[in-house]
Amino acid sequence: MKPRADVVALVIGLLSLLLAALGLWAAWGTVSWASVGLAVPLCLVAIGVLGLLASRHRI
Amino acid sequence: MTLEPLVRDRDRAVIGGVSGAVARSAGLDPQLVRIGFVLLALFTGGVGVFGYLALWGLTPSRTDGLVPLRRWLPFTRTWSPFALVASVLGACLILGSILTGSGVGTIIVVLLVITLLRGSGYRRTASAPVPRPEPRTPFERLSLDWDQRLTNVDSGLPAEWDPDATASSLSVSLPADVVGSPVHRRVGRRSWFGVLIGVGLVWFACTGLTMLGVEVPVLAWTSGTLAVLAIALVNSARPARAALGRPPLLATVTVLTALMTASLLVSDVASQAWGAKAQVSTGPAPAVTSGLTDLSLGEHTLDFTDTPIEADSEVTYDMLAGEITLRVPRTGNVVVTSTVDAGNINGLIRDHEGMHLSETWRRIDDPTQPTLTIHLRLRAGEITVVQP
Repeated sequence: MKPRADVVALVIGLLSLLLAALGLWAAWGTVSWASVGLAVPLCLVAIGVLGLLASRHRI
Repeated sequence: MTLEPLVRDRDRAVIGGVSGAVARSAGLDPQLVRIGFVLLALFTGGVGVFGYLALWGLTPSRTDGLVPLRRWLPFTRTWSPFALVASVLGACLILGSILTGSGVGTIIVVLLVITLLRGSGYRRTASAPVPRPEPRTPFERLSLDWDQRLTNVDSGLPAEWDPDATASSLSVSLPADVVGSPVHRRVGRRSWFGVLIGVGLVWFACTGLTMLGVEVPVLAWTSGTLAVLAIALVNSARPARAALGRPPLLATVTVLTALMTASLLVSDVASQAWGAKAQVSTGPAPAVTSGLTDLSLGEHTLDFTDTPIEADSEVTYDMLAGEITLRVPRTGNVVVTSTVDAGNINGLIRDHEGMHLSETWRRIDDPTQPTLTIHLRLRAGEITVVQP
């Protein structure tokens, strides 16, 4: 049986990575919130799609 | 209140199976319980998450009857159920109060967890393993055996491991490198060693920068720590690693660190916005420069009252969130276009409130004279246009 990815850990990890990147940017730079407002929804959609793909059952 | 024993079913779990366990125990729809947990987390400032995690760690699984906390923390196996529950709830109380500041919410969640555990007879069930259902046909026996083998592999145990032979005894002779063994030494891929090294390097780098005179904000410390934890979690989620498990409580620590980072980020942004109540000069009139100007978060007053209109010009002001007050020139031809995605426009024609608002106001005193066109674009907030 082909090993499967741990989807919950993957999604939590990617979301945390996104938040950590935003935090580091805010700590040492000036955040362009217009860019963040565009990039964050795209990243969330990408993470969601990745989670859906990883949770498909493979026979 | 008497409920059925709380038992998690990992096969039908969305996250940890806690909502399903509470639903089966109380005879409710699991989706309603999941919605209830989300609402509890929202209305208690996030403390509901700690309640969910506490129930996750304290509720045994259907397949092996083991309480996760006793598996992850071997030193708790000799503790009584009361001591284990009291320790977990005490940790939730402290963490919930500190991280969320919601004392009332913390107390509500702790009382709810105590009620659920007492009502389900936790004292009786936490000490005794949940018996597996007896198979009635050879097919059911093969199916249950295969299900147990898959669960063993997912948990990092040998495929042939039999929970019935080990659940009632603490002195089980499992291989030393298997999670759950009393003599298990977590080394290599399922230990915290690599994660702690990564976190230590981040903290060492932050300390080094501080000693070199570079200001390192608290947000940088927590974000760096969160980045290391997140990378470890993503690495452990890969198919090749998922079957071997991950360091115990890694996901929990990552979520808690993310909550802390998010709260610091929000407070940082809020303090910047509060400090950015910018006032464009009300003395000498601002020069009209055609093009797009990005305004920072906060409140801005654009005073064109005494600005001379010497040539046709078009200026655009774009802001993500806040308030813009525009004072149009006292004389001359002016066109003002205001656009708000969500908020209010207090215009010279009428006041609007809602979403996707737009208003255009024109004053043409002399068509032969130049016109100043001002575009105001605001994602969320309030635009006020004032004629002196």
